[in-house]
Amino acid sequence: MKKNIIINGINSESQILYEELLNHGLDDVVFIDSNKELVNNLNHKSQNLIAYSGNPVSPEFLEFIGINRENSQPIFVSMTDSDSVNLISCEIVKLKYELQQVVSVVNSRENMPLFNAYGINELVLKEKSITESILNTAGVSLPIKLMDIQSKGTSVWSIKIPAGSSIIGKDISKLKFPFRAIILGKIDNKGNPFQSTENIDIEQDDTVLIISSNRNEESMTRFFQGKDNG
Amino acid sequence: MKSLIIGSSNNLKKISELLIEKIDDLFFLNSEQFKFSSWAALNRDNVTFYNGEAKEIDTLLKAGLEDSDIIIIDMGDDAESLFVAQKCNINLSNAIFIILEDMSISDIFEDLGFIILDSSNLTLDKVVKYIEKFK
Repeated sequence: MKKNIIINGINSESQILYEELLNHGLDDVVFIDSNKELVNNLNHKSQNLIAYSGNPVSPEFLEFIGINRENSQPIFVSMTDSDSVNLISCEIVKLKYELQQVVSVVNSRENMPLFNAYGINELVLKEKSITESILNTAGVSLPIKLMDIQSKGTSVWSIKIPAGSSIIGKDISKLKFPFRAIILGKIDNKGNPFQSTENIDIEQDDTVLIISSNRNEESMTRFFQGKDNG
Repeated sequence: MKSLIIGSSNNLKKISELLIEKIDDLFFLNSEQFKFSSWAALNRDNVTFYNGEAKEIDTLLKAGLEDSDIIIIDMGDDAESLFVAQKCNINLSNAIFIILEDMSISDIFEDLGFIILDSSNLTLDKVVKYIEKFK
């Protein structure tokens, strides 16, 4: 079945995505945006009409641009600078039109758990790469999502133990989390893997692998920094 | 009984004037506090005004979210109202009313547990019934 991709939000990132999609043979793509000027500018640059102006949380408009097109598999990607618009438009296409393929940018880390709680799990945190770089440089480690457990809102995470973490020296098999999680094991700084059942201490620069809900991302960060584990 | 009112629309003003006699404490939150200056009827001892960004959880908590039994939201934009409502949805014991312009999306959010009011045809029956039931 042919895929039709709807990109909500015209900006530099979404236009780069468009080029990438074309390079991969995905050419049935339309942009939507509430800003008429952005829509007109994009249409002027393009050979075809590819952008439409309207309210991205209006079912009438979403249907007009093909959200429920027959014999097609729509993919909705929300990339606006507003987390309100991203979340609500994704909820509408997911809940009203039962779209399975819904992806959203999240502009503020604070809102990640909100998207997860309402079933929008394919997320890209806009600030993450910059924030991660700065925090990692400052000696703070953030959890990295390795794999989504599809449609469960749960993931496999890795986190590097920073210097100063108060779990350094604690037995991995006896770690108690203040949130629900399964610890799979650790990889030491030489690359050796250890199971969580082994009585081995956690050391600085170990990478710990755990399974936990996406909504626990911030709790994990605090726990492994050592502020929440006493 | 406590209520948190988020936004500063005329519909919210209308609802607040009804609630003020029925509710122990009213908290108001809006990012444009100057708009509250015309709400003279609401200058009572049991009313507190907060100025801040309603889309941030810290602001919502400072404005009394955790203590509120009823939350009523009208940000003047449906996406923003629905987003704030979902941020406010931190426990099951309170009722969250949302005033929407586009009622074609109301069923989606009613299914998520929110109570939707029609901006262009505002009736307060649902709010009054909830207060009476609560008492």
